[in-house]
Amino acid sequence: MLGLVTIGQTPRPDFEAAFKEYVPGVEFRIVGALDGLEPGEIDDLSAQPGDYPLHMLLADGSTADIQLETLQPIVKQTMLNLVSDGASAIGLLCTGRFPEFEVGVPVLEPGKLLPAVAGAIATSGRVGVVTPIESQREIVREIWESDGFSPTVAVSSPYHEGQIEAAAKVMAEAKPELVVLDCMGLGPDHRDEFTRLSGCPTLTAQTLLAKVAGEVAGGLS
Amino acid sequence: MLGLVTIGQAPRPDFDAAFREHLPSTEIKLLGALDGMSVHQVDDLAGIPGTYPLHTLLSDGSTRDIDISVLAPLVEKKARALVDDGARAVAICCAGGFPDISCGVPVLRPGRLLPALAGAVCRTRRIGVVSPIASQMAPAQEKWEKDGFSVKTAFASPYRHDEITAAAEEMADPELEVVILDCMGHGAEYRDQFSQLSGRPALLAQTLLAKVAAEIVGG
Repeated sequence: MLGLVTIGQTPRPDFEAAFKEYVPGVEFRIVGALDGLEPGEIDDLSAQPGDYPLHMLLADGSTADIQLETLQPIVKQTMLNLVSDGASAIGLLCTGRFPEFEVGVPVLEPGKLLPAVAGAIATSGRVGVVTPIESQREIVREIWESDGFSPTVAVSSPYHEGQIEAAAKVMAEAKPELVVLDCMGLGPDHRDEFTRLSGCPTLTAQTLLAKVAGEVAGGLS
Repeated sequence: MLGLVTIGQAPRPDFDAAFREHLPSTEIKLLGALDGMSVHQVDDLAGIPGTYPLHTLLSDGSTRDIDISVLAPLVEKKARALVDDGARAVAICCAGGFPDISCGVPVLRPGRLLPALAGAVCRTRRIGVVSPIASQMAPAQEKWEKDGFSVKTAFASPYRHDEITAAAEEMADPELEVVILDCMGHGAEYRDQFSQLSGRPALLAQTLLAKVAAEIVGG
């Protein structure tokens, strides 16, 4: 079984659809790091200070922004629970740059995949990075710069309408070699719209992770 | 349109099928670096000495081994022709370590994508690398070590089916976290068979390149 961990709450029909399409014939289970928590508990987590907030969807359709540092142990425990339930590999459904997870099975992390694949394609290092929230802009810029890129950063949440046009306009003007949709929630519909509006070739974390999981699962068959 | 460049000659129905699966409605155009050349001309190229031979399939079904330094300018020329023809991205259908090709659209090279992906999925960085020909094992080892991996090599041509068993035996080493089938000619069936024979998870250049290309041209 492939265990998938979203940093918010289930259900996530968008993630289910992506993995059904690209990892056919493999049993997978999606669990949310915040599943079972009450709104009050989530508010407490959101109030923890830090400089690397992550944007997540809750079961009621609202969103929360919680620091990576706060989420890290909760995400790890969610992974360990999946491993106890028989997961032979884990996929993290978040592009945040978490420290290495030691959970006894391989962990696929989009935060590692995206810069590696982007660097293999965009040899000039001129990438566009679309991040979901304004408060993530500076840390995301620092991270991509420390990976050796010259990023142009724009903001577009997958969970709030009306931000994609402005983000696409930024990229249409900057004309990076490649745009990275650096948030798991930005799916193929968002990608198609973004590509149409910006004219830029685009790498999408959500479908890339599902396809790579399919490759790895295929290699184990 | 997605442009594909193979280092040998067209047609490559195996490549067409691999990319078509992930891009059902996008135009795909494949050019061979050696298209239009006579066997005699190709033999002349194969006679040029070098240190990094690549294994190519010709349209008559035979194979030649030609050095990357000879093939690189021919590949670049075909990539540019595809861009002039309207390609929105070009995928190089060879896992060799080709130099950068700057032609205004994304150029996807498995020689860069495979180590990027292997580094992201493999924590120990202890890998097996299967080259198509024995004479490529040394330059392949050097290339992967430069990318920071600890490498064990073997060889098995995708165009001769009698080499898979010995290569799989070489790679049946539990210390290897993953085995890279480091040649575009190896397809998904080959991968499945190799994985079964060796007992090791295998990463495949062909399907990986097709999937990433589909990401980039939107599919």
